[in-house]
Amino acid sequence: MDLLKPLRQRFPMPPPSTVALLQQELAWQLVESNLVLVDPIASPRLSQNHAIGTPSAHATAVLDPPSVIETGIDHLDASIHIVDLLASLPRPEVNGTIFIKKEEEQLRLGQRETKTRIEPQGLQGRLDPKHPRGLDIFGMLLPILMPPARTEFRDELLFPGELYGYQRDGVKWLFENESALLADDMGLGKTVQAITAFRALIRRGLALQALVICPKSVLTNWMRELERWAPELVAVRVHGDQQARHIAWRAYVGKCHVLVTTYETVRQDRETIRGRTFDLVVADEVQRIKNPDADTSRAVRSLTAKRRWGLSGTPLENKLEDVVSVFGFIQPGLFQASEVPFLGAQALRERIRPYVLRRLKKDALPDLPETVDDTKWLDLTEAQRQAYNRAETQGVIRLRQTTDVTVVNVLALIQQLKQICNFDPETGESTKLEFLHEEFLEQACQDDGKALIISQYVKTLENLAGRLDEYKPHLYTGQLSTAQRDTIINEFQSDEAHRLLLLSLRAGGQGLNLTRANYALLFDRWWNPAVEDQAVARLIRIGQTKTVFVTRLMCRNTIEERIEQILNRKRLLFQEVVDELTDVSPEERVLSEEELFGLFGLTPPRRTSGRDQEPRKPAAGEPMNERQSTVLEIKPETPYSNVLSLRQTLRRCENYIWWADRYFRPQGLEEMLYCVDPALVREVRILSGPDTVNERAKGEFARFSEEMQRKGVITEWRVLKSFAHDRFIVTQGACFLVPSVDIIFRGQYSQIRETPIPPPFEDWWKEAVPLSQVSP
Amino acid sequence: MTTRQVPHAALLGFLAFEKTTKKDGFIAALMVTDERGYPMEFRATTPVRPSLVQRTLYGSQLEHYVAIELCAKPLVQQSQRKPRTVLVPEPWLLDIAEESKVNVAAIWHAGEVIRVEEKAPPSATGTIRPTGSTYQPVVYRGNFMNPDQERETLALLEICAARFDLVEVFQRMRSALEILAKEDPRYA
Repeated sequence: MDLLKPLRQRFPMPPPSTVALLQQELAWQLVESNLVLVDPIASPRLSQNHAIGTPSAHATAVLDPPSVIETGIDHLDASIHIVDLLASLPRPEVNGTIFIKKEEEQLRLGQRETKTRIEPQGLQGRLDPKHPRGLDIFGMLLPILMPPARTEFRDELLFPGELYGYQRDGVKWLFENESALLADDMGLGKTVQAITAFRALIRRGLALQALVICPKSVLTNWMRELERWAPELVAVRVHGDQQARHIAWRAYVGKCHVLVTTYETVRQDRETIRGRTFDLVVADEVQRIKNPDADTSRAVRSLTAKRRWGLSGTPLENKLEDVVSVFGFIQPGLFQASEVPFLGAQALRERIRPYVLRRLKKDALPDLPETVDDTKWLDLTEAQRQAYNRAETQGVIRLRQTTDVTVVNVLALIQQLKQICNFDPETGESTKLEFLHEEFLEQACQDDGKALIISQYVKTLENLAGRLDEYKPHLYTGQLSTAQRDTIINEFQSDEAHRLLLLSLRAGGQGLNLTRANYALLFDRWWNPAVEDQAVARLIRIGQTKTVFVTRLMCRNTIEERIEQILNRKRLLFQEVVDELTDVSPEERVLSEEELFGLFGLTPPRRTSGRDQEPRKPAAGEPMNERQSTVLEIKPETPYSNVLSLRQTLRRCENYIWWADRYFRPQGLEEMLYCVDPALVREVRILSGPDTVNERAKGEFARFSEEMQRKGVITEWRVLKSFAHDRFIVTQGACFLVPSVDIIFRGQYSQIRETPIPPPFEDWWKEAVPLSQVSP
Repeated sequence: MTTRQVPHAALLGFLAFEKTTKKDGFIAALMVTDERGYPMEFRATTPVRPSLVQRTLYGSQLEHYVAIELCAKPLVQQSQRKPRTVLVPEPWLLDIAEESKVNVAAIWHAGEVIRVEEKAPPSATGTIRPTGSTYQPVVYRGNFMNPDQERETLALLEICAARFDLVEVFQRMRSALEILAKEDPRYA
């Protein structure tokens, strides 16, 4: 019997690699020399009794007694087992993640800028209830894997808006002071001044990294303001669960210019941050550390920084203890513990004077406009986020499963989600209420200030009324009688005890005069900014002597943000749409059916038109009907958005659509297929430049034509070899010249005029060649 | 403001091969970056811990076998954004080229001393001097699929070297592997 046969069968052919050869050779040697070699760690069962020779002292000690034969083990089986063992140097598991790179193009002061944003792929899966943060360990590694932050800036310093005179003074003052308390009144732009001053420090090479500490409710807002006012700087938030925070603190050394975190995080991560030296620490709402014995105050005071700035709209100088605690951070050593009890108010003021800059609104009034608008971006609380994700996931599933789903179903889901953004239905938690407590009310209602809080939901206002008792709020809704309303308004205007009016958007829309207040906070957003403006206008009446500060609250990564994005796009793209924005109802709404469904990644069900009748064909040379002009603005870099905006025009078009757009893209065909009503439209002509033609476009157009033909609509696409003209749009029988990009971005839509020159379309059309004759 | 997904035209792969924190095994990672050094994909292997017997048997070939066969090959194969060029920190890792069918170049800062090689360099050697930036020149030794791809790869490296420090990427990866080992026991 050939004892070695199993081994020969195992290696019938010469092995393919050195390693296999080595294994084979070893196996043969083992068998031939009656030795069995066992790895005692990998195979403890064998090592106890059956092995003899080993390559290490450690193994020898384990392998006693050593004789295989004496233990009666099947020598050959053992050898095979060992060969298996040798061959199984384990293949490692490979894990990882994808990062999504997005480039945002934005126009700033007439210059086009590109901002790169990298996100872990996990962020896309926010709807997954198991991973509400959508991140795994590999996603958390992003900060470490990012390239070092820039330290040289040679490009021009641009600002998204002009700084007021007092703001420029504030920037200069901050820049020149290593210890500073900027204590301007709320609404005067402390955040912007601090960001700009830090930007200047970085540009001069005086700082590389700053830490911003702020209340949780304004964390997102800081990020937004940094992105807006310092787009060239890399800013990251350090917030969230412990593991992510610990990675972030370690990883972001040299990887970003600004770390934004909360007071709670600084307190919790005190030990992790210890020893780090920041070039600048900015403590927003620095009155949060006015209690000298609080853990948070201690943690903030223990930070090491070359520059320390505090921001606060709340006057502090009258409370000795508060001042001492705050200046323990801003200028350590300014007050000795032993002298504090004996320090008078005057001496205190004198001591801190060099470090404080405070401007009141009345000081800044000559600079300020009639109203100052501000949007605060907030993050939902954990409870709200969970409730929101759950409601959205379930809602979308319901919409998908419902046959005959209508816009009303979508609107109901939107309303539900918007209300969760206001308050978590189960716990009552509210990030917006936190903001009111942490930032807004204390400052809006200080001295003799009064404020309005406006919501579209009476339930939200009632909830607020119960939780803002200390401000003795009045509730003004449509459910009140006229007499009750008058009483409330009179009391609010004249009684100093009532500092807050909770106003229903619909009830407060017209006829009120609330000039006693000069702060308005829109707790949730309405579809139509014009309706909001109407409510806010209650403050801007004859008799209002102060600047009116309007704050709008928005929750990040929610339906509020998505709606805002669409509305913003519309405002930019299409003046006509803005003009048509009206109170929402299913029949007359701002967002189209497609856009409403699109908020949840759905498409509206296709319905057959009741007007599917044989369309009337226009006679040759028949003039187009004269109709009211429709102005269509084309934004060249967003061709797909053009199509979205174009829908409304398409729906009103009759007889012809002449669409000339050098930026035309085949995606538009799909839209037209859906939008064009064959009962109204007889012919679709597309005139484009040669750069729009490729195989895909041709294929899309063939399908489009086929589908249109079935509906009785004539289609043709011609291509102009050269475009002498910039852009124009021909629609409903009139030609509109699109003005310069500059005018578009300045929002001067009224300058888009119908050209008095006869439409050149026909001439160009004759010049152009059919699509089929153009090779891509 | 418009947002768009960026097409992955010019991608670079960086392969790091490190000892585990306890020095009892090996761990490898592949990072794919764009032409500006932004991470596009990151993958890491769980540690490979050879037994005493395996260490003895594989001898001097152990690291090579683990790095090329067990780690680099699956890392490149499993990457979703496949780079045509993989950069490595040491020349002995150039053999990845044959196994993974990619262009491979070992890079280090000019003036740096790296592991001395016994074998002759398999292919091209040279220095990339970034133009218009302050980054250090980079020495490369390459194993390219063919002369055309060599030209293409070197052109890409020149562009990238002017935009970010190519060698610094390995430091980022080492830091990431260290954190990974601390935060996730599977990688310790």
